[in-house]
Amino acid sequence: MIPDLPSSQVLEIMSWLFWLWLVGFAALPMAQRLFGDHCDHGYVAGKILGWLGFAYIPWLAASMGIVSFGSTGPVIGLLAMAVAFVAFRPTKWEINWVSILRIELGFGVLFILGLAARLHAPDIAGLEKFMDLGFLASSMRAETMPPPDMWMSGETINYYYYGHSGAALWALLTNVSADHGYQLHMATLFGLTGLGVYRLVRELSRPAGRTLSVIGGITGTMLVLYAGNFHSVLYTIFRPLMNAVNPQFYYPDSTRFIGFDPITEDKAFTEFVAYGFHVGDMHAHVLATPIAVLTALVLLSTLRNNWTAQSAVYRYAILLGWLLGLSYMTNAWDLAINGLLALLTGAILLIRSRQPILGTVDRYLAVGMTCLAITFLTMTPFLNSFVAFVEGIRLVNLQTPFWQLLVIYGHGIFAIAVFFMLFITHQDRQQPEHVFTGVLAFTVVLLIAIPEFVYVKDAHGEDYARANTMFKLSFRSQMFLQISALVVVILLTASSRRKFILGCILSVPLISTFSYAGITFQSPGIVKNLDGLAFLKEERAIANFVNTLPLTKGEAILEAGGESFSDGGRISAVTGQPTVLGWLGHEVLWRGYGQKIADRQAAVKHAYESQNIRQLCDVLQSYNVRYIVVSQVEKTLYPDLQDAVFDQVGHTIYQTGAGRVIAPDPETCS
Amino acid sequence: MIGSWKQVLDQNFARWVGICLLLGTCLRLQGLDWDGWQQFHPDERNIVYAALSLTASNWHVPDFLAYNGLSLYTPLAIAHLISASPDVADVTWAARLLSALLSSLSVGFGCLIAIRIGDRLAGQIAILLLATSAPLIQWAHFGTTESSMILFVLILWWLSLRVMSGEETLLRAAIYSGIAIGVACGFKTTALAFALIPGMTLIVLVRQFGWKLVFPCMTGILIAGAIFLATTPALLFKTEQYLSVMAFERGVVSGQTDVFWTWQFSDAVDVLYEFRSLWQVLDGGMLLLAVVGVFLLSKQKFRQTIPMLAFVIIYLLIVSQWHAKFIRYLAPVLPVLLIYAAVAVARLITGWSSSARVLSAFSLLLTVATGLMMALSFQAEDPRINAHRYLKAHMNEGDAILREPVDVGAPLFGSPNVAVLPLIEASSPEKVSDISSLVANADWLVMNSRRHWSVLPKLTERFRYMCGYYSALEHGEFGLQEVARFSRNQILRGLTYPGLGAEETRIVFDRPEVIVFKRRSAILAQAIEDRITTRSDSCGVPTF
Repeated sequence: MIPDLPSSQVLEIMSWLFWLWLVGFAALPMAQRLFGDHCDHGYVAGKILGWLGFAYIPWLAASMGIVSFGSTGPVIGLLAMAVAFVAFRPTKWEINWVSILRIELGFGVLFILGLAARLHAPDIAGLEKFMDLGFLASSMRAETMPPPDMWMSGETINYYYYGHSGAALWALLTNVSADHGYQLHMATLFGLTGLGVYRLVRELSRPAGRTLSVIGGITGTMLVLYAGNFHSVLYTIFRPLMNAVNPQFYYPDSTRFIGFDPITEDKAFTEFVAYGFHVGDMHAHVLATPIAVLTALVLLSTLRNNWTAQSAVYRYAILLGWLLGLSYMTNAWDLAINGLLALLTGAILLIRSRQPILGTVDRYLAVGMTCLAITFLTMTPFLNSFVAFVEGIRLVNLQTPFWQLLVIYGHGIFAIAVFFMLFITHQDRQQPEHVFTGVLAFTVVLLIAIPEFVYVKDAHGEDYARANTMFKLSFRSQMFLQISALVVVILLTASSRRKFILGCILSVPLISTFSYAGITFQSPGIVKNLDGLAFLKEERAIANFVNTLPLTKGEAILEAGGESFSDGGRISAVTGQPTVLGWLGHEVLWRGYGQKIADRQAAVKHAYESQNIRQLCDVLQSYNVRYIVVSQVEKTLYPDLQDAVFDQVGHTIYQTGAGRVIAPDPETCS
Repeated sequence: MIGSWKQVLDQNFARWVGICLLLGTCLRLQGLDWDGWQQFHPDERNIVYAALSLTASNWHVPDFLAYNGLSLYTPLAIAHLISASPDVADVTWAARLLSALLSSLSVGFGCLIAIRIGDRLAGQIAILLLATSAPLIQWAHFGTTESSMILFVLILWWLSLRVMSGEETLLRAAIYSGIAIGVACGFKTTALAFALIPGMTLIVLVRQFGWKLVFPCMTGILIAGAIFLATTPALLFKTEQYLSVMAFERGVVSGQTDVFWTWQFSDAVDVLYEFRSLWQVLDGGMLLLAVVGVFLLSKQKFRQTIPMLAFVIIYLLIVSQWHAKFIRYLAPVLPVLLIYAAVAVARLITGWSSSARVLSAFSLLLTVATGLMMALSFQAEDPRINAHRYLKAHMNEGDAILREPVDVGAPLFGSPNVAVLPLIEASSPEKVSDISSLVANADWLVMNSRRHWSVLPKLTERFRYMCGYYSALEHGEFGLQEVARFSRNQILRGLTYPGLGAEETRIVFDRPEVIVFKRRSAILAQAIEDRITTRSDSCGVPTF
């Protein structure tokens, strides 16, 4: 594995891991004040906090136009973490280096496993990887935030780009290329998710004793990172009984089940974390996963502290508000999901409070307002330029058949049902770990139920009306389901003999989902190269050349656009250099299909297919095109391409067997 | 914890007041050249040119009578301090300097008032609020009269409080009030309404003093009248013209005089519009806190503020009935509301309720933040100047530029190739034909602000085709494509920039959004006309 990597890439990985460690360590004093109740005194939570905190200040400053994100962002981020370290460091500080080493080793293992998960199909192509890489590459070049939209020159990204800009900052810090940064950041997300889940399960199963909680933590990590949902069990092992439409099981089937098998007019996606890491899209919901885990850890600590110390109240509210704000900017849905978790936790605390009602309500109201205000403050720079493209909340027309919900969630739903039945009467409901497990479980139920009643209307057609709503809620609910069900199993097995047997029975469907690991688990031995651009083949040299071109603000390259998920827009995606129009479908989703997009679509087509110099010049001048790419993809997407015409407006500045780059002559078109 | 920081604030009272005063002054004095001295504020431009036209022989009969004498004399006098022959830029600078300094003085007076009706903490919060109030800072950057009106309202309130508390004799208070009202009227006739403040004070005190009020009252009126006449000699020497101008202004205000700058109020609902305006400029929370502040006053202090409360209520009732609803009409009550809000914040933040503390703290922070962002925005370049530079860099020799009527713009728009669209001419088939012809021949089209595109499409009965015109323009049907957009750079603009529903003068003078269109394809005039008429059948207000 490591010996197979080129030495330069080994250095990149070491550098990456070093900075991750350093930034996490810088956040440790702050984390210890907040998560001192954790077994590791907040080290894991601090690592995630540091990873988030490093990216936030540079982003904020760049959003206000105070600093250049690309050139000074990393330094600003490190300075911010240094200030945080100094500000929160106690005068007498004891550090358990052994514990830190253990955790870092664990993270290192997860990181390598994450690299393996990414690099089993290293090409950053397919699904929406172009988009994610484009956001990252564009952010690396950006002066201010939001970064330029690499697929619509002259505009800025109108999507949840914050997570991508964070990834870009890490790539800048470690001085790696955009594609290497992509691979390494996916591994980071894998590692942080795994570490966070381990910590969460360990803390929640603490009443079961140390041994069981450690086993639980490891199992929980593996479940979330590798296991599937119940469909992946039923439609493999019990396939003959399930009346499946397709002859064979294909791993995405577990995420495309409702509406697909059997086919109906109500299609929904039910992805989960392991699938997300396996397909390797650094998409918003994947980027936001460690934030969701950290939010859960914060809420657990809040419950544990039981709001006894006044100062602690506002500390958690401020941190929670900040996390909710980051959630929105990374993956808008997570504001609602994490907010729901927070709301339920707050409600529990309110109900359990033994203080006079007026004072209690007043205090919780104050804390809630503080949290909301911080959320809003955090989001404000993002909202400054973001134009929401959803069209409101609607009532659903069709609902999922109950049996299909059981297929998707059956591996854990029975465990949490048992938990509720036992929990309501049991004395252990005074324990914060039990309470928070119940909160997680109840959140799962709500997240499953919500898309059966309402959905968020977007640009998808009627057949896929609920698809995105179900996708986003299901992705998070699956993780919480795995965690809460596992904790229930552990707590049961640590109880009486009868409950031990019950726990074993309930563990069967949950553990059986590990069968999906046959697809998702990748041996570290396949980690041989971080390169994600091999798919470009002969066009790679052109992409590398375009990457070096000096475009100023407002200038653009011209390349083939095309429909979403096509090869169009690939040069701008891998370099971050803005093109006139990239993936049409995505731009329509983000901005609506208006005259602007229609004009650009026509302009790009005319530019490549017209024999009229004037028409070509019009396009070049209208969109400030400095360089034109004419290569294999252009020739494929525009069969009527007039190659010779380009020689009349400029001269070739780079040429390979695959194609060339032309620089238009300003005088020719003026 | 709250007790400790209150103690710290109290111990550093003078320091806090000094810092806030300095902050407020600096925020007002910086960025006075926000338009590069290009005279983008129309009222200010009128004042400056009227001031410059004054000579030794005609000083008493200025050409511009909408503002009174002091509005012209004081900037001119200040300008003469820096230059023997002041020009437009000098007088503009002087007018803005005066506005900024008067606004800074208001900050101090507001603190004094808040201490009287609240306590020292209220005074400290009031001075912070007034120092960083976004609308006050904005008006301080204009050489018009809002800042002076605010100062005189606060002076009169302060005098009223002194009389109500027995610290000032009736006669002295009447003399000072007379001077204040006289000088205020010397700036703008609207200040006559401020007589309500001493008037209401007298009414409250009539039981206590009875006939003894008559002499001071008459004295005050005489002094006010004398100063008013002395500072506005045009009332004596050009009476007919003066009264005619006042009648015109009255007509504009009541809606009887049809002028384009009041068309924006065509669908405004009385009281609701003013409430919404106040809500927006006070960032919501402060308006609520102002109401709370009134109720949190002690009985004694409440009695002392009755005259001002009465003034606010009566004044708002009056202006809310007007057809014209410019935000500047609310200027006299804004600082009053901020002071009451400061009283509320001071009480709530030290009170028992945690949620009230949090609400007050965040409202305060929000107001301070928006004010700071407003102030900093004056450091950014004016969007019309940026648009001018863009055009100069991109246009070719002989290019035809179209612009909208009665809208200020870059100096380029005096050149022979600039034509004006007859958008606000009376509706007729010839108008559409003229517009179509101009558009067909234009290489560039510039919209310097939203004052037409956000208003004319709503007036479908009066301007049948303007909705269709703007809709077709927005959808690129004229062969013109948006190529550039300029706005005044403002941190967190999405949070602070007034939306389409806001009164236009909040943005069109100093921070409009300029949109530049360029010819991309030739479209015949007849085709343009057809597109305008077709779209006019079903269109709404554009969103640009």
